[in-house]
Amino acid sequence: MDTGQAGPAATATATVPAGNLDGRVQAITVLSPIKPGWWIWLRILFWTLGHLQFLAKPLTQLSFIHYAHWAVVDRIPFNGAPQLGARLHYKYLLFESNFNGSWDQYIEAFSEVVGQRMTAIWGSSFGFPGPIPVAPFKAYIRRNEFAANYYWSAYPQATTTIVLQALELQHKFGRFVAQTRSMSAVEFADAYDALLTDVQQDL
Amino acid sequence: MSNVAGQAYSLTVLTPVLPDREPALRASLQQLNEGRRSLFEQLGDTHLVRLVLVDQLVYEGPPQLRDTLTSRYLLFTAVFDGALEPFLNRLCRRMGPVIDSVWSHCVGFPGTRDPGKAITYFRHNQIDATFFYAAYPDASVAQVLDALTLRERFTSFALQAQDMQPTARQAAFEATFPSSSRPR
Repeated sequence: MDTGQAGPAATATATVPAGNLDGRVQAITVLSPIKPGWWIWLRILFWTLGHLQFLAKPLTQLSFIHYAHWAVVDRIPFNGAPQLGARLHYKYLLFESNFNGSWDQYIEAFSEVVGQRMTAIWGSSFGFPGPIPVAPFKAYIRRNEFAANYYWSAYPQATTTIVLQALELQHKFGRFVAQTRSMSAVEFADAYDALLTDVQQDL
Repeated sequence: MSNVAGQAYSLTVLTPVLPDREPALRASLQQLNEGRRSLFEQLGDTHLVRLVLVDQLVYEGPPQLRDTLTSRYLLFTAVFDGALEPFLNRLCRRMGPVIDSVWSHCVGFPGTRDPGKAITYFRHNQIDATFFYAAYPDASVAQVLDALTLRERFTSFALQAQDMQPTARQAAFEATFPSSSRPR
C-alpha cells in the first residue's frame, strides 16, 4: 500500500516524541480521512455515546485517560488571502487524548478492551486495519499521528488514577472533618480509624 | 454541547500558517517549551494545552484520493474550566505577548491589543468536538490541585500518627489541618 505522506510521528523512534510528553501525561493526536458518507455514521455514533452513558462506560475502564475527544472536521475555516481555500475530497476525523502509561500500552488497551468501539469509530476511515491483531493497528495510528510541538499539563506528575483517588479522599476527608468537629479524643480515634479503612485505596 | 463535559470545556482551533512562516512558528513554539511551566499556570483554570503543526494530510492509498493541504495549519487544543468566552478573554488579556508570538505567524490574526478581535478570530477558527470524554468532569483545576496536595499531606500525617495516643493524634490532626484550611 502506498502510504504517501504521513504525519511526523510516523517517523518517530520507539520513544515518545518530546513534544507529546509532560511529566507522566502524554498526548496523542490523530487525523484520519473519513470514507465518503461515513461522517453521518460518526455523528450518530457519537451522539449515542454522549446520550447513553452506559455505552461510553468502557472508556472509564481505561482508567488512564484524563480527557479525550473526537471531532468530525467537515470544514477548514477560511481567513482570506493569502490562505488558499482548502478543497478536500473528504472530511477528517480528529482524535486527541491525554493519558498515562506508554503509547504501546494505550493502543493495546484500545485494541483489547474497546476493540469493537474502535472498529465502530475508525472503521469509518480509510486504511483502518481493525484493532486485532494489534501490530497493524499500531502502525495505522502511527501513520496518522502528529507529534505535538508544545504540550502542557497543570498536574503533570498525577496519573488519572491518582487524581480520582485524591478527589475521592477530598470528599471523604471533608465529611470526616464535619462529623468529628466536636468529638472527644476517644471518639475521634474511632472515627479516624474508620476513615483510614475507608480511604486506604485512595492513598 | 459536545465541547462540554461537566464543567470542563474542550476547545480546538485550527488556523492557517502564513506562507514561509513555518520555521519562525516552530521557533516560537520551541520558545514556549523553554518557559513552559509558568505560561498557562497563570490562567489558573486550564488543565491541558497542546499545539500541533499539521503540515500535510495522510494518504492511505487507493481507493482514497490524495488530499493536499495548500497551507500548513496550527492546531491548538485546550481543556479548561467554565465557559469559552471568559477563557478566551483571560487568554488574550493575561497572555497577550505569548499569544501574539505564536499566532502572529497565522493568516488573519489581528493581535491581542484588541482582545475582542482576537476572541472573534479564535471562535471563527474553532472546530467543535463531536464527542468529549472527561475522567473527572466536575473537578476544576483548583479542586484537583487541592485534592492532590491533601492526598500528599494526609498520607504523610497517617504515617506519622500511626503510633500516637488518641489525645496526641487528635491534637496533631488539628495542628496539621487547621479549621481554616480544611475543605468545606
